[in-house]
Amino acid sequence: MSYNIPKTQVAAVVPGPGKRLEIKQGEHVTQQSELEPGQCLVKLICTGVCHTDLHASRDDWPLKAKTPLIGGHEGVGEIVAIGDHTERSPVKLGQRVGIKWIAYSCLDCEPCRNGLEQNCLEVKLSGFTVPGTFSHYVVSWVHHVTPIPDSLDSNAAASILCAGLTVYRALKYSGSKIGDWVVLPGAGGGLGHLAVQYAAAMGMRVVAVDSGEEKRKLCLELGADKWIDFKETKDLVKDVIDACDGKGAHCAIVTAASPSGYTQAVEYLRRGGTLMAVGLPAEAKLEAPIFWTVIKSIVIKGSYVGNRQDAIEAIDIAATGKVKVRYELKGLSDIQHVYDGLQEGKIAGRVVLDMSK
Amino acid sequence: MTLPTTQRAAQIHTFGDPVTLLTAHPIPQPDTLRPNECLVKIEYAGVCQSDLHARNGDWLQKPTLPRIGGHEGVGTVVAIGAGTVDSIVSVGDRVGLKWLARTCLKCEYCRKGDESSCPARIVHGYTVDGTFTEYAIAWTDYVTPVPESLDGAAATSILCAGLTVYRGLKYINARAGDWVAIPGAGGGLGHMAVQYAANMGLRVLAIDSGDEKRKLCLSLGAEKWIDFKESGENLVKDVIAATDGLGPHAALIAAGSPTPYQQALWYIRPTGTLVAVGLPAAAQFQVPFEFLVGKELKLIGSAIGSRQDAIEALDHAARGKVKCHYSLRNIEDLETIFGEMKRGEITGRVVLKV
Repeated sequence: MSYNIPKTQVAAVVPGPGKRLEIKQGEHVTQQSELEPGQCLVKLICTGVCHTDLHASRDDWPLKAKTPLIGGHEGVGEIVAIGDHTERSPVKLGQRVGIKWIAYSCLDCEPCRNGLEQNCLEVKLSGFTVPGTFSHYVVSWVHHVTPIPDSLDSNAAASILCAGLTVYRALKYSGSKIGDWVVLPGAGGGLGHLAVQYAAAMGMRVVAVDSGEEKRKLCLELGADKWIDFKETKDLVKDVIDACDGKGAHCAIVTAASPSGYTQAVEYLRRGGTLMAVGLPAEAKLEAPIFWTVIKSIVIKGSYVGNRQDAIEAIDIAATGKVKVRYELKGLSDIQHVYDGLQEGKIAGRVVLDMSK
Repeated sequence: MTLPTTQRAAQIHTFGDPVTLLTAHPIPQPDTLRPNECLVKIEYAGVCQSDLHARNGDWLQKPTLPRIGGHEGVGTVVAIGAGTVDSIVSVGDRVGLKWLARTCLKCEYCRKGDESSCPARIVHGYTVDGTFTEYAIAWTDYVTPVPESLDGAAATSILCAGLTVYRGLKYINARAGDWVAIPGAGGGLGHMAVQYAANMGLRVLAIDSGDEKRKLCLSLGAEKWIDFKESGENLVKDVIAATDGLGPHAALIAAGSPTPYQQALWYIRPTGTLVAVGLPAAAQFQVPFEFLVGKELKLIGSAIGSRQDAIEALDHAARGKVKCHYSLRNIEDLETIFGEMKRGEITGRVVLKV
């Protein structure tokens, strides 16, 4: 099987820190002979857009992207080339795979050996420190791309690679058991609506917290047991405690990018409850009253994307049909409009870009 | 660099026959090494009861023949295959070779840290040549770096014996203050289990026989000792009495015969854990349901360990917390050593100076 790989392509490039995105023609496409052992070239079918991509382009995080930057880390495509001398590749030419935030980890350092591939000392981040998926062709690594099962459509898979993986892993590592009450502030959002579905699939009982009739309908449809509108309620903490059998939640997964969700969680968690911090506000601090955190034996854990095994599990659950992404399909050429929309808080759910448009 | 062309090695030719001591076996030359292979000049090689099982073809899965045995080695990297990528070692580094020569690091087992169960695993002294030799081929992504502060001979037996009991003890998930019974506590694995367990804050009941082993176990941190030959039929009763009258919370069993495992079912307290790391040949472990379910016991099989477990096991030794008691002998003594092993005459571990 051989593929006709063009020498140049179209890509969405951030030319310098904080500069506006440009759609550029004539960007170099890595040829098969230029791939290092262990690398592969993926022809992208579609890619998701994540709020992180906006942060990367605006340079507003403590972690800095490498510019000029081709962003994107929720790509789905087909392997069209594998580097010579690549040993024991778990994937083959023609296979449909996903590219996530963690593009590469060494598998040798202490974090890798302990399963924390996302914290690899030599980690490479797609669309941040190495070129990402807002292009037609991207270089990735055979041992880190995520196989996509035939039963899962590419557009449906894209947002699982970051949004889905992230909330799935947070739920997995929260220690929550079947029947536990899980509170999801922002349950109607891009990550939130996936968290509702994963939590329901894992047998937990979900309290969805968000605002508006549209999101209420969505959350209940996706499996949430209870709904609280944070704009309408007079006392969110009391409402959450009441909703969870009057005892408070076992777990809260906070995906919002603002600090208020965290402080309230310590109040509405029951004794021994767990707060999973997932959202990434740049400069905010997590404020938790030390006294109540200790007295209530509250556990606070940071949860950051996931490793290869988490990604495969998140995708496999989606492939069973238990988790479906609500997304809007646009074209690569619409990307700046999407960034503007994210900036203004106007995007509900996820956005997936079709590469052919 | 120029290497000699031939070497000494102990090779299995026919199961059940004495190993053949080769004196002019070809040394793999550096230019024949494939990418990610390395050549290690072996300085010390430990002898493990598994090597005896391999020599006899005792298990369902047998080594491929002819096969140079041994899977506990410490030596120096003298060559690395051309085209090797991402090597964690360089020429001149001191490294350890263990049972697992290599695992794929990509399958579900490896991704979850269960490298011992990788279906693509390569095993020293079993599916590929091992450490009873002067020069062995190993893999740059799987050898274990040996801390500088650790003497080579002392490090050798950590790579299989130490690793195995360390990881087995980890699986108990015990709390400091829990009692753990260690049958065979005076043996190669046993005496290291006593030390790792004591370091984990466990209270150790050492079970073995003879004054030499008794002295060794108590000096290594065992709190109590039972001589199983003296106890005879009263062993179970004596173990329960020694552990606050309730039985130990756990037992870590490395024995090569089924009896200690059967006895443990009787003396471990309810909800306790039995970790089996030994490999008795042609034997079954009979577990009455009344014990398994009635006492809510956890029966766990633990095989060697991952790269991370190996590094941790060596680290404890490097910090002086665990010392392997070994006698230094020669490759030529291997058959004699196997005989002593079979008769239970060995205290501690045997390490060959290659």
